[in-house]
Amino acid sequence: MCEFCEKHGQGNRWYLNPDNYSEEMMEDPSRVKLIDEVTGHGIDYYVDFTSRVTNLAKWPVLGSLIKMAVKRMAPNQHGGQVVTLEDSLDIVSMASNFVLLPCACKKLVSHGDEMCCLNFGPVRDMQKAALPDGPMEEVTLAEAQAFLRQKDAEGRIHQVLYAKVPMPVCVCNCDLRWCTSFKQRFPYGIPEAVFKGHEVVALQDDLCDGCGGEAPCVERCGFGALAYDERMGKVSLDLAGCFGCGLCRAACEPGALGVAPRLEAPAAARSW
Amino acid sequence: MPGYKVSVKPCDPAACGYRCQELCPAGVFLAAPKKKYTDHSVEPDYRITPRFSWFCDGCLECVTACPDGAIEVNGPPTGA
Repeated sequence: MCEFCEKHGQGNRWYLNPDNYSEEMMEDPSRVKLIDEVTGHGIDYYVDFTSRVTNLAKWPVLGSLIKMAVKRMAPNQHGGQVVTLEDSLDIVSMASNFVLLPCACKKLVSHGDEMCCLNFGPVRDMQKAALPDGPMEEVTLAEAQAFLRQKDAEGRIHQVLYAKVPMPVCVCNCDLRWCTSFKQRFPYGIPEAVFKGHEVVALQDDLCDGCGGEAPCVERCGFGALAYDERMGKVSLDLAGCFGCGLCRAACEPGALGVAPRLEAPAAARSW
Repeated sequence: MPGYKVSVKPCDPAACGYRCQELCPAGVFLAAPKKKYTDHSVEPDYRITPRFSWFCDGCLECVTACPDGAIEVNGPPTGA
């Protein structure tokens, strides 16, 4: 069972528990302080700081201490978990005050601006207070849902971000080239940078025909969990690599790819 | 990853328009704020750091594009 769901899910996934979106969440001063720190220009410093810390994990002894510290600290900080399109639509249906903000990762990593960070809840007003003239775009619920669908079609991975577990504040629509969370997770295996999702891909072997060797799903998967097996003429799945974003499904014409709960897949159940 | 080692000497990224960042297909370079955080209204001044050099695949586009010649990419250790 996912640790966050156990504590904050009330039988459901932590981000699908309406209580976690309530105003009461903002009565926690440390959460208010954290959100204030990561809005406006503060996010630049935050990305710089966290990536510097996680990069220390490469050193032999210091690294394991850093990993322990990150494990303890991460739930009180700003982090996220991969979600499917369906879950991200459920998330926005529970939230309010939607606002699109420029992706900080893209700004810092490729010097580009893209309004692809869908924030909600307290963020709108705090961002307005921090950067009154900064770029922001207020959107309605319907626009937010259409936006998520559009980004999904473009092959963007959705991530629900918390500002101190369990309050979700943002659904980010990520490209692995920029995402600093994934850049912190992959090199030294720090799962707290971004958790795997609650689902994994389920591949129905008998339906897969490898699309005549083209296998468009393989390219769609940013995590390298799918590979084309030439001998079999089919796609094979590496469950350990799957983050459960569900993007590959759209690329599968025969409908061989679907998602199933991570907990029901023994090979992936304990890997978050 | 192949283990390329990227290093960046101090440069003026604003002058060239952050060319290395726009070019890098792997997103190796991070624009890190130079000074400490004070408040939101102050736009940070950035320097380029190869924070994510683990992802470098050695295409060397940044080296040719950098007008200051500030970027150096060293190949992976032999045997890798």
